[in-house]
Amino acid sequence: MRVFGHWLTMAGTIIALTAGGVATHINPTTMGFTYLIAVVFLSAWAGLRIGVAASIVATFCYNFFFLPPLHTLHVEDPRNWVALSAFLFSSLMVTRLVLAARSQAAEAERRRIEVEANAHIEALRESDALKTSLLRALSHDLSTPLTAISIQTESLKRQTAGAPELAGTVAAIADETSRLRRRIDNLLTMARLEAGRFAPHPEPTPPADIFRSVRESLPLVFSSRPVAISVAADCPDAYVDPWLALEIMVNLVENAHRASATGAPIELAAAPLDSRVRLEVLDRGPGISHDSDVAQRGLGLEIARSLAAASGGSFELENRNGGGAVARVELPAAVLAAEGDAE
Amino acid sequence: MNERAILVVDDDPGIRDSLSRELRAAGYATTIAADGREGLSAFRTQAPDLLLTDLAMPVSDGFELISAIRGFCRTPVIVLSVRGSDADKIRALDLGADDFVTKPFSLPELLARVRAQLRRSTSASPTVLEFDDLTVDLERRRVTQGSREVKLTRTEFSLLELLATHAGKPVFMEQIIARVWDSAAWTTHDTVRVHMSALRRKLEPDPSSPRYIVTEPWVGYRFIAEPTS
Repeated sequence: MRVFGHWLTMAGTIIALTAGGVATHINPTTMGFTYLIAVVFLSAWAGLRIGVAASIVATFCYNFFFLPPLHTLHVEDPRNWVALSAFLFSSLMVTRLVLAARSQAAEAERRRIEVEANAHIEALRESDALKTSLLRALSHDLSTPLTAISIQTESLKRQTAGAPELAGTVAAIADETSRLRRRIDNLLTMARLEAGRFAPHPEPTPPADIFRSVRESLPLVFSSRPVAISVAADCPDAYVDPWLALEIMVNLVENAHRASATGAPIELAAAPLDSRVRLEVLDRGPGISHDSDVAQRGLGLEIARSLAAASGGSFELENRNGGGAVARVELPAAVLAAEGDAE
Repeated sequence: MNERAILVVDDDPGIRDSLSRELRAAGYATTIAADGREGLSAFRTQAPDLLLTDLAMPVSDGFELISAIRGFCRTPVIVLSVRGSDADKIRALDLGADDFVTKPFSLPELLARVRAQLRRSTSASPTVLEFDDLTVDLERRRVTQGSREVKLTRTEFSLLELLATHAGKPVFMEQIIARVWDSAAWTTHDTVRVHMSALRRKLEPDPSSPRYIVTEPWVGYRFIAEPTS
């Protein structure tokens, strides 16, 4: 439709100019230039084909209506042959030049966009590299003083071994230091996931080993209350990044610990569920009320939720039958293929 | 009294000095260095029994130090790695480091790793290994737990033998495949995992809370010589 419109406009323009020229008895030279201007605009507007066609139609009309003898295609005066050829030649040249200018402008625009896009990509790449190095630096700068603090705390423990009144204080410092360390670990892991700098690296991980690492990470929780661990005999390994699994479970156990009364038991359980592994942390605390928000429930649960999702799993928190809460994480199960057997 | 010498290489004076003080309190002689280059020259002059080194350091890093040292001796090396740099840790192990702790590590854990590494060079290889109530008789290839004999298949015993003779130290998947399966082409990590889980079921008094064998993420397994809790 659009192409048809171009042809129609071209024909209309030439006819209108010709009619105007005939009506006003314009002199041939002025008419030639008028046609030329029309050709310039038509080719700039509609491109090569219309430009060339307009040149030819204009040449024909010029000859037929304005060059003597009028109303024939015959040209008598050799000077008019020169004028006609000059007209055809210049209108074709003009078409070509206009089109060349047009495509140069388009090329320049394309280059400008390309340069801008490259600059944008480069900026993104730089900010990505910046993020990575910032995270590395942050991780190093936070864990270095924390390591020094925890060594110094151990030193204090050794030096105050004979002073029971100090032992409690030192143990509390040690406990808070490791809590701070876990929070920093959590935040760095979240930042890494967010920045796309850390892709989980799953491998078959026995649930018993996840629970064992949790016990090593939270010695005070395990020594201050009964913690029952059960792993179903037919429970497969979870296919999960071991660090993420540990972080998820440490957050859930810490949360259950804070919610529970002194001495109240916590249970850790692992069981198969279809092609998944279900890990649960069960407590006898107050349970959850449905209107509680992140601020009330703590950052730990939100972190557990994000990390479970990043591990291709899911997380939910429910009230437990008989009081308390159950935090449930479902992770993909590992499928172990043992080819051949040495026995 | 223990008078083994340990070289501590870390660019952070807070860690370097406190670590060195606690190691001395634990009965070791210590030398400190602030980077890989200083570490290498201290290593050459002091000839320590064990090297504890950080990885990221200015001038010359831990990787350079480890590969330089592995060029001329087998002294145990424990790497102090940072959480989230697991690729660095694996690279250090590939270069010849024997073990690692992740910063911020706990001191008792580090001391246990140090003891495990130093034990290697002192003990003449015994034929009977004892851990709590578990006894592994390497010559008669028998395992007893208390008064009960644990029946293991040939593969399971070889796995246990490899881990128990390296008690306290990480044993890599590749090492296990090479030693137990003679690098047979069909042996995959999954093969190892299946046999290992069978061994653990027979060996662990409570499979829900492993006492002896634990997985070491991305590395392999570790036999726990000293119970931590």
